[in-house]
Amino acid sequence: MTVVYGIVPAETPLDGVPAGIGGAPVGRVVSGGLAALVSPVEGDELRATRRDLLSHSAVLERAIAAGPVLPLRFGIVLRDEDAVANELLEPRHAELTALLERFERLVELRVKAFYDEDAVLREIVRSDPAIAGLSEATRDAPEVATRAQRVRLGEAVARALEATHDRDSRAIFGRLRPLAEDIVVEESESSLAFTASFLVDRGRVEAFDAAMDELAREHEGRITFKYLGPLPPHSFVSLAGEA
Amino acid sequence: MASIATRGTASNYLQRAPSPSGLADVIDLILDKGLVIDAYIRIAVIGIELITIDARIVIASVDTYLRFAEQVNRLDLTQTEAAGLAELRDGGGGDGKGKGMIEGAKEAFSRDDDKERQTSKKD
Repeated sequence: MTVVYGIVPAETPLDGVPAGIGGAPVGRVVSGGLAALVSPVEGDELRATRRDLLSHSAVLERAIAAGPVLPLRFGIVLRDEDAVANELLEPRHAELTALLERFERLVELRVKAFYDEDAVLREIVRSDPAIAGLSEATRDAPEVATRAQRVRLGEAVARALEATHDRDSRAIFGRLRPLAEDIVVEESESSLAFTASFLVDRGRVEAFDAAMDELAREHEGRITFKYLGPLPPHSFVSLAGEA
Repeated sequence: MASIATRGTASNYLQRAPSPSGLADVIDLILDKGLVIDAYIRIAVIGIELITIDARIVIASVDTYLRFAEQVNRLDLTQTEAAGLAELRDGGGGDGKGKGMIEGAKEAFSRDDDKERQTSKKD
């Protein structure tokens, strides 16, 4: 079996590409100006181990440093290298070539923001008299007797947090949006964090860096930013007919 | 406030990395994003969906409200903004407990080297 990591222009050099899944060397299958980055895997099954997930990612990170790459999801496996050429690169040639052209200068920058919980909660208590009042009333009272009030307090805090979250994410992502060709804001898993990916021209990465610096300074003490990239455009690639 | 304008070191509150450093980042990126070539084999990843579902359920529960209430009532409101920042900078607020529940779950998962059958975290 052959696992496929991504599609690159055929002339992309492979120097420095780390070992792939299971430690197997990464090679390429070339067809019509396109190259699939591949490696052999044993057996009929891939296990998503930590090491193999990291390997898949590392191969793609190296590739994006060398030029454009269309990243595949983890776990796309074909019968053998011939199948990669005959069943993937050839029938999809026009579409893959067009995608590579479209993403030629584009990389993904990924921004995650995490609230410092205490800092943002302090803001909320200070700015909302109802919350401050409930907190005052329950703070030193016995837990059992004030359970209903504490649930109300928590509910109000959760709502306020949601509002703060929406306001901040709109403002922050709104500032970054003009520097990008496209944006994907992810559905929030938590009201204490938010995430978006930006599709950015390589020539504007530096401007994006500067904007991130500014945002981090403005929100120092209340929001920590985790800023990843340049990455392959994971969040932005798709083929026709893909679910 | 000290202003250090050097790129990447402007603030402790900006962690810049050229590539995903941990499993949580990688899972985020390569398990449900990227090209899918229809009709080819994909693997099933055991355990990860479980964590996501578990975390979503937890968010809007009474337990969460009580947790927020407890946390708000623990806050030292006499603390000034500036003092708060100083405390944070000195690491007073950075004990990792301040991370969201979901991040906590993901980190727990990340540390679980090579084990796919991660069970849901307990709270």
